[in-house]
Amino acid sequence: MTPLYRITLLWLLLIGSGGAALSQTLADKPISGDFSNLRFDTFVERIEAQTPYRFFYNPAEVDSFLVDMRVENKPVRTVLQQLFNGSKYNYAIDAQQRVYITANRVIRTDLPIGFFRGGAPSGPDTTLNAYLTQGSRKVQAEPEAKTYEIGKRTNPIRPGRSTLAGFVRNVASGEPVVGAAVYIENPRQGTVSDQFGYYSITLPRGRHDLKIRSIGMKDTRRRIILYSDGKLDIDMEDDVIALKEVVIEAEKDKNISGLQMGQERIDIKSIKQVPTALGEADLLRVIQTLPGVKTVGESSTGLNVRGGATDQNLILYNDATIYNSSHLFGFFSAFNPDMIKSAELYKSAIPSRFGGRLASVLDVQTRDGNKKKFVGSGGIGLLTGRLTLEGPIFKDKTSFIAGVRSTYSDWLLRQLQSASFQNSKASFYDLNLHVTHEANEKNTVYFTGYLSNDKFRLNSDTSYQYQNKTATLKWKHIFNNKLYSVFTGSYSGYTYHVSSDKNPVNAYDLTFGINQSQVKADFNFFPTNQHTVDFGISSTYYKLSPGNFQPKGEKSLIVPDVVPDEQGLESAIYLGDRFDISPKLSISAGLRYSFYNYLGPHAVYQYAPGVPKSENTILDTLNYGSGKSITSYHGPEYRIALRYGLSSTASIKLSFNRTRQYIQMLSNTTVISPTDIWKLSDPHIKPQVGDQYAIGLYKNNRINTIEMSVEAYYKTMQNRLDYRSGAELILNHHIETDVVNAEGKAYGIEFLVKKLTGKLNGWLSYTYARTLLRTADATNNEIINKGSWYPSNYDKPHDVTLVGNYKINRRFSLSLNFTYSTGRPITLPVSKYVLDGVPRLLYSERNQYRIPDYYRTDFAMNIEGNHKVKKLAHSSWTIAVYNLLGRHNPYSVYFKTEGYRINGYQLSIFGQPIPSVTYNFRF
Amino acid sequence: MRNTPHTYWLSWALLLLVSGCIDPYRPPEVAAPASYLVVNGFFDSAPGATTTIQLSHTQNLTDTKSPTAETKALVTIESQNKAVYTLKEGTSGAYSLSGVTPLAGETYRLHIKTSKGTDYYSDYVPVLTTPAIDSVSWHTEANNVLFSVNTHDPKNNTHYYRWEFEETWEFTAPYYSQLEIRNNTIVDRSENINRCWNTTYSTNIMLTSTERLSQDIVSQFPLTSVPGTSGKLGIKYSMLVKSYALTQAGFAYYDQLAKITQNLGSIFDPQPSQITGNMRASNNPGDLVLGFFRVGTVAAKRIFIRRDQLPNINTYAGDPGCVVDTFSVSKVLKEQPAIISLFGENQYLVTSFPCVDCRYKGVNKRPSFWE
Repeated sequence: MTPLYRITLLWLLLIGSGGAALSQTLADKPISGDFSNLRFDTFVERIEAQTPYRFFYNPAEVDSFLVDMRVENKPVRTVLQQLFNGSKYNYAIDAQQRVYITANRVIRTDLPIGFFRGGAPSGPDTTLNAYLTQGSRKVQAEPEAKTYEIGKRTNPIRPGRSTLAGFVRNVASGEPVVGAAVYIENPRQGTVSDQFGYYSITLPRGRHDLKIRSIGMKDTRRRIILYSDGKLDIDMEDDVIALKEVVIEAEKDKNISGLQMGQERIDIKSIKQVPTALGEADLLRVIQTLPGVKTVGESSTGLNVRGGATDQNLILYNDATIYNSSHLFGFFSAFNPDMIKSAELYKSAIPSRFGGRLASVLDVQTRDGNKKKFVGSGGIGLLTGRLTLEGPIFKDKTSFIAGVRSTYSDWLLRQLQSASFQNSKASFYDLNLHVTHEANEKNTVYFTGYLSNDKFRLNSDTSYQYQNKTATLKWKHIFNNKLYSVFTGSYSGYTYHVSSDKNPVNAYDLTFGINQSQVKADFNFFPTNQHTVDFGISSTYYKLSPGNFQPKGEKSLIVPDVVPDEQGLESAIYLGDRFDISPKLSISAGLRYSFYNYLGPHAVYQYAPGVPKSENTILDTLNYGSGKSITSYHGPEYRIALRYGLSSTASIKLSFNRTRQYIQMLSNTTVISPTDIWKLSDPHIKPQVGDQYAIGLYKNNRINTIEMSVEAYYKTMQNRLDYRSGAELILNHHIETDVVNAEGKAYGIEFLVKKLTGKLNGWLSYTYARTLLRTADATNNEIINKGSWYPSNYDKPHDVTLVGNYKINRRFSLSLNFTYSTGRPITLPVSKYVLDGVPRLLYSERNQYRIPDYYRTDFAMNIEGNHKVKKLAHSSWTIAVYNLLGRHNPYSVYFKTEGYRINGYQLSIFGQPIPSVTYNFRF
Repeated sequence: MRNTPHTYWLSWALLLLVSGCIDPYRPPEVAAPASYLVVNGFFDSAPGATTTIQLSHTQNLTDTKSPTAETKALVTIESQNKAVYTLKEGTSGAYSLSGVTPLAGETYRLHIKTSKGTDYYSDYVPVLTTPAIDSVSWHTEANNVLFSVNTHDPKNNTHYYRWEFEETWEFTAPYYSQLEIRNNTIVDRSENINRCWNTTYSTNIMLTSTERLSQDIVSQFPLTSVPGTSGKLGIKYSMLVKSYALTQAGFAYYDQLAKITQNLGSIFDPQPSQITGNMRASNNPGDLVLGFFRVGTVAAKRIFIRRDQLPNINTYAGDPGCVVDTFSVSKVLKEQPAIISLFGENQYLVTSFPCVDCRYKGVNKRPSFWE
């Protein structure tokens, strides 16, 4: 630039600014007017009519911008300042009273200071910097910059608080985002979206910058002006660019700021990254890696949560109870990974809306179908194949997701040359359908149907089949921002069927069935910002067919034997309030009161009092008519939790909860077997009652990337069932003579360190826990171990689990799992004797020894396809090796009399490294 | 369908899962808390039968000696009507009684007073008459002979059966030895050691209940499967099936004992527990006594199967590994092998003894029942 040119320019500027100074005095004449609900162009017309200003803007940029203000004698600059404050729009006024309105970028009407000196501007000049960096910055999503006005506009904004509510959804699929944190920073106040993606937050009226965060989604925010109660739906985008592999989903400081303790939320992404034996992502296996959750063995999907038995977990699949959560002898869990959105496990401080089981609640939620377009996904693994389709039925209103999964193990068994496997069969399938219909803003209806079926026959003439069936219809109704309700009707059915037809004389069919129908109404009420109230009522009707034994075929001599049906009605009301007394102290107090009636028709045996119940002590039989209440039990269930914030990164929590259980599983095998039966509480079998006291200490590092927690608990259980030696459970008309009333106690301490983000993420946990049982009741049929405490089958005191994931790049990640636990207790033989010429064993008292310790390392590699947005199908590969070191971890130890010798064996289920390859796709 | 290597590999993967991995297990050294009394035997109600009750003790698991007998005990069988029969002590803990036939409709118990003065009593048990076995049937499947038993009780009140069987088979050694060495000279063999009979006894507890059937009929209860290659079916095979009627309590006892000591190793095993039977110490419930006392008869049935009845069964038992050599007389006398026969001049065909002497695997005395 030549000096001459510079000078000319300078002169021009000087002249210009002088002229501007002159006309500015004219233009600074204040304006007045009521500009409510005006389109921006109308507003501009009116300003231009009153003043010499002329506006320049792109009409497309401002067409959604509504002006809503009233001004009295204010200069245009002030009016514009007020109008655009907090929005994405910027204005600039030059010397000629030309007003430039731009979105996102600021126009400079003069040159920067020091421009002519040729150097960089001295001192910070944010506008300039914004300019210079503009090109490389990504364009902000429109809604983030927009200012949303909530409620009916008032001027001035009335003091006080109002409630904002709405849904958080995934913008691509329309699916609700569960567990998204919705908060403002100053004062710090927030809430979390529920399972419907619904949130409700009460804030001081006025302007706020509402932030929304959910892991796996891009952080977003909304500028709002809260005038009164109103609705704001928030769309979030998938964090596709970061491709974050997320371990535990919850807002980042939830463990510190939330009241909930003993709760784990797991989403499908973390489920998919944990290596499993057969390559398929398996929810229950991941749950088993969490502290406080144990299982008796590798082939079992049964959960023992903090000393609870496997039947003490309420496993809900979209609110319907699943009675048998395993497929194929327990190698697979009953949940199709493509259908699951997330699962929440409550180990303590169980919310008062849940009831009916002693130890835990596992709340599994399916995804909602994509509301925008049809998509599909699927996978092919070592033993299974699966396919899921989803899409809108009516765009943005109604969507469906349907999934099918099946195994081709039957076909594989047929390929085996061995005759014994030729006679074997094992197969399963499950079908899922979930439909969401959003009738209008206030009403949403959900339907879920689920069917799982298993069939097997292992080298014998007896075939087994079992089936879970559930259906749920849910209607969510929003009364107003502060109150919404969910009405649910559900049905759960479980049946099993055993049949044998090789010998026509003995051919039989044995069936067992549970039918459970439930209706419930749940209400969520947000009266003020400090209180979150939920209350509701539920009623469950059980009908059990405990055993129906029928001849099969004409030649069969089997005498039909039908154990009479059992009926029970379990009802409950509950009320809970979460009260945030101060930012440091909050309390959640809930009371659930459950009522249970054992209903006729049924014949009930009366036994001689004070002596063990047996067939010989039956005194009388009382017959009750249909619908008559035979016996009833009821009692309060307290759910209390307290949180005290020690600092912004640490808190201490306490909880106490009582739970009652009116239906129990009877099983004298150590793992859940397909022929286990369920039994309702009756005059002889009292409901189980459990109390749990827990204390926890939580600490995050400063940026909430590393979470540390210690939780300790003590638990008592009453009226647990154990069994007489040689108890006969199937087709037993008087099961009370074969069960033993036991009490249990469990205690433990769980340490957990989690790293949620970064290239390396995962968790490490250590648990020390004991579970002990005792049969002290003198009227028991059998006093196990002379009435002293003995360890339960799943008492494994030490447990260390490491789940690690390392992301090498966006397409390639490695996972490594390590598990160590003490061997489970077993009963060993202590001496031998010869009976009828053959040696036999005499066993020790129950569970006095342990099988060798268990440790296992698994490894997995996830390879994603390329990240082109538009291609036919996105695919990924998972290559995993389960039990990498090939350790023979004993599952059980047993002794057999073989010929004239006794031989001891240990059975390992996965005694070799099990490699697997799974191909997943989505289109 | 042809197996491609690919499907074969997948099948193996599945096989691995289904069959798991079984290793021998040595329990930790556990010293038994005490040695308990074990009672074997039953009160045989067949007229003229001799009842034998055998008393022994439990042993440590690692003990390889035979069980210690309980001697010098006073063993009596007592009826509810106060009749008392004392058993006579024989050798090594065996106590026997003959000439007493229990009365139908009466109940009896076993009373043992040990030399230490401890009294053990059984429950009173009824006299059970076992119905005759209708038939022992067999059929072939693949290269196996499958045996099963049929019976019925016309009175419809037996319901619980326990089965045992004895297998006896005739077989020959691979080579017929005509000569033997006696007093350092080669002479004609005086005793036939080529043809023998061997007997084995069933060891598994086998039970049937007809409780759930409208008629007390046991149809085709499978006993065992004998492979053609077992060497048992080469000439003639015989099976003696014995049946014992049980009370419901007796059935439950044996059923439990079977469940915890023989049918194990699946994923869904029952929990083992202490099972004792129907006997107890009179004044110390902690002092266990093992066994189940019962009173009744035994029904038995024997069948024979000749080789020619099994045209489709391959009975080749595999190469016994016999090496036949030719020795001179001096070498024969020096090395003393088993001699098969003369082979030319001063030469003998020789082999090892198990190849000519069937007594390594049986007895060369024809059983009395052999047809």
